[in-house]
Amino acid sequence: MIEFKDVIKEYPNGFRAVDDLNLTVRDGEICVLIGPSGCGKTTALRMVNRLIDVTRGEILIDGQPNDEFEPEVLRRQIGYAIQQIGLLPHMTIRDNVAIVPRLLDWDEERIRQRVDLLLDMVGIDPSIHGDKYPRQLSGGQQQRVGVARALGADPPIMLMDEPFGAVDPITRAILQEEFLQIQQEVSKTIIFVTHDIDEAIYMGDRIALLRAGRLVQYDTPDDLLAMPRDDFVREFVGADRSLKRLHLISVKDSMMNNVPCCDHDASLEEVAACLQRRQSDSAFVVDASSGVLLGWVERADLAESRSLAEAMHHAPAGSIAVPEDATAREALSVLLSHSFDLTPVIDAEGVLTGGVSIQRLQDLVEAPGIHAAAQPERRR
Amino acid sequence: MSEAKTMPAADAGRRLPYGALFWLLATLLIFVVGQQTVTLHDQEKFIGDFDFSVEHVEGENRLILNLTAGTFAYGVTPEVILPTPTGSFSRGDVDAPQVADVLFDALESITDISIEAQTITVVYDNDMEAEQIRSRLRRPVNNSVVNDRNTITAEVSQSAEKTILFSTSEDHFLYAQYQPALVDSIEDYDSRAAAEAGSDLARFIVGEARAVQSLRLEPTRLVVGYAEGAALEPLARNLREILNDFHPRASLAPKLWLLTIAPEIVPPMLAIAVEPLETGLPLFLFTLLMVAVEGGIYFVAREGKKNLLIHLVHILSVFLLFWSIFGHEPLWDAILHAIFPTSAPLVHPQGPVIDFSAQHLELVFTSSIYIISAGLFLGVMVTRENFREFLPLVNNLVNGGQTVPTLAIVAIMAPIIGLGFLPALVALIAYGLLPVVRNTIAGIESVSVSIVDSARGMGMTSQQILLRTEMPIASRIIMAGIRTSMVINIGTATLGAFVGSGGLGIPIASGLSMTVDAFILLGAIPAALLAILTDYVLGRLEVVLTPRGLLIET
Ligand SMILES: Nc1ncnc2c1ncn2[C@@H]1O[C@H](COP(=O)(O)OP(=O)(O)O)[C@@H](O)[C@H]1O
Ligand SMILES: [Mg+2]
Repeated sequence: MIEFKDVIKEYPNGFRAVDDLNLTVRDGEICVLIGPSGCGKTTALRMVNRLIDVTRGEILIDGQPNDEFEPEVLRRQIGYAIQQIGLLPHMTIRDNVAIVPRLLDWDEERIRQRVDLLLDMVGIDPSIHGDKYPRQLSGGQQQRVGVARALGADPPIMLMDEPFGAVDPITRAILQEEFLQIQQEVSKTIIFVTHDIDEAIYMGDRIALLRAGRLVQYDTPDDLLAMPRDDFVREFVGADRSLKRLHLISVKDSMMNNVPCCDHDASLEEVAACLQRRQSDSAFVVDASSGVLLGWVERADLAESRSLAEAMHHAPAGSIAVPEDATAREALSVLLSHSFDLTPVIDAEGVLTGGVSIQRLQDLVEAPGIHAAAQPERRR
Repeated sequence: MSEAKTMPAADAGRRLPYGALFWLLATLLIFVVGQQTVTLHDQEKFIGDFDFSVEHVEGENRLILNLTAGTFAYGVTPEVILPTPTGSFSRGDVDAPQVADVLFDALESITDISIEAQTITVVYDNDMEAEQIRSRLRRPVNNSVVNDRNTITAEVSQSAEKTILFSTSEDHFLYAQYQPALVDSIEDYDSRAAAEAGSDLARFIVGEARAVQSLRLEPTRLVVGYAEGAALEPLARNLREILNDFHPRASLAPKLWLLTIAPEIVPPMLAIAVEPLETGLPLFLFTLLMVAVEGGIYFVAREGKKNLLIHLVHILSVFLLFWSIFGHEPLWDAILHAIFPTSAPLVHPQGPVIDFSAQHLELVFTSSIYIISAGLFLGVMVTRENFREFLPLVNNLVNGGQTVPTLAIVAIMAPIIGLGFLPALVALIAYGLLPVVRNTIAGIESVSVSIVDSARGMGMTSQQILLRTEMPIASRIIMAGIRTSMVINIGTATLGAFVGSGGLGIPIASGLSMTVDAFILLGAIPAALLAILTDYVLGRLEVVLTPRGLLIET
């Protein structure tokens, strides 16, 4: 656990970069520090491992003020990754990852095992890249090594200052996803600095929004989107915050289970009755025995047809339906691209399990904070 | 398809080690040429290869060394060797061949000489004992009439009244002209006279055998007076060793490679005196090492391993090559004589080039050690957080050192600390500090802030940051500074001669004052070669010392 208690940082020129910061980062959580450039994110982060001294207030690590440690001792227990990566160019990849274990005098055999494990974990094959030098790797690979190095001595705490800031958006997305998977395994207490609200929403268990050195709002991503405290926050999270929230919700959590549908062997009368009962202009057609989505039928087509088979529109499930593990945002996208008022949802076997409507999505977005359980299961 | 892709790489791997093959060929060539020279001459003896018996004069503190093979000839450089023209000559003939002149000079009583291919007939006219005449003529004949080499195979017989016949079993008589003199007059020295004005041989003996008090040199006999109470056995043994060590200049044969590389500048007769392989050894070793280097590069570099050893062997081999040049006085003589056609000796009277070079290197290395340690120290200090305020000051100081002319520093220093090694050293240090300090600072500043930050963030102490991060990354730039400094230093050190610090400046200075251009070159050429060698060696070292990760281009 990391606690900022009334922390103030004034630079020698009198500039107050962090102003009265109170913040608690719980064990195993990723706390994202975000805010406009120059708001004091980096300053706040670097005070934790004492690369910058606190002017007033204190920072507690597991309840113990961090200035009770020798700075070097403290830093060796805290992983540190920065945007510029800072790999030592004269050392091999393995040696770079081994830096902190060596500083801690681990025995070489243990270091070797640890290094290979970490490189594997971040997706760098140690047998191929282990003995290369940083300059022989791409930017994305270097970032991975940077993360592996920060994890070197298995520190309980990690400080990450825009660690994925220097790579292209596609690589960044991959790195973010992989890092969350690693975090799933190692469960570190992490302070993660970024200026990218999407990254913050995706990565953060909690987001601390800073402005001119002050903490403006500290909330879960969903609450931050749902209940911006003031205009600054609202503007910062962006006009598309509703869409962003939808991105946090899975289809499974937002769908209605009860959708108009009929079996493929139903008579036209049965179909008409069903539409009547549901007060709907169309219904989905599923296989009678397996429940697999086959297509849909519209009221207007019923009159001119002799059987359901003739009246229905066949469609491969993938083209009109969304899978259960998609985000609500994807469901919305499908809704907008077809003329249905309901997007069908299918499971892995193609079985129709429910549907998502515009109305339903609106309700969700307007609800004040969706419970954590409603978040997509992105951590699994 | 995939096979086609891997082909070029495999091909590159199978490329022949041309470098190694080239040097192997060179080595073979030298070996073969060397062997040939051996078979040509190995049955023959040098002047100065002595065999003698030692005889003790009872009660007189005197040893007599009686020559049984060779002569006590020394300082001999045969210049020409030609078949002796045949014909009959009488005293006073203007175009008598050299050998006739020598014989006429040797004995008043000779009236006519007739030279044939294998016999020389001497006619004499007074009533001296034939035996007496024969013994007095034997030496001039042996020394000036040489068959193929200096060995005497001529037989002497007395055929008729007043006629002495010298005959050779070899093809024909040859004669050589020697310079300078042989032990041709019988000379006496006491040990002091020998040390001061004695012949080379006398000086050599007096210098090596302390017990010797007086010396009498005769062509075939050496009479040594020794101090009262000296142990006889050891002295005799000592003298034997000394004489066997004494190689007259004629046997200071040019090294083998001189013959193989530049035969046209070797005087033809010198070639005969070549000691093959033994003196060609530096070159032989050089090419052999080059085989190792090229072969090593071929096998090791391909696998991307560190090739520190190869670099070191390479440096060593180049040193050997240069050393054999510096140490080779006949070469200097030959080169300088080729440039300046004169008969005066052009090798500097104060000592051989190798000695000047050694002095020079001593000056350069001593000052460089101070320069490097002080330069690194200053450079590191002013880049530390706490001492950064001194950076402009130090910059100005070392810049200042560079701008003041070295000669001026020497001139200022001389009255304070006098002449000699020290003022030269101080001047060189002041002058050479700038590149090292400047590059140390530049190298450390070149380490990016984020690298130092991440090192600090991982918990390295400032000392660890310096030694494990800043210095390795800066090493290449620092080495470049050291290299610049040392190369400049070699040139500047020639000025040391003006304050009596020795070195290659000495021949240059005396060349300037005596207006002997050859002496200037004698200092300037080795200095230039040394600078090139140092630059090369340090360049290699730079590559060796630069961490591999930094050599990768991005
Ligand atoms: N050493 C320093 N001295 C004075 N001001 C500084 C110093 N370092 C940073 N600042 C200022 O403090 C503010 C916060 O900096 P920083 O924490 O790096 O911002 P960011 O949120 O972009 O990471 C910035 O306005 C910056 O100009
Ligand atoms: Mg920052």
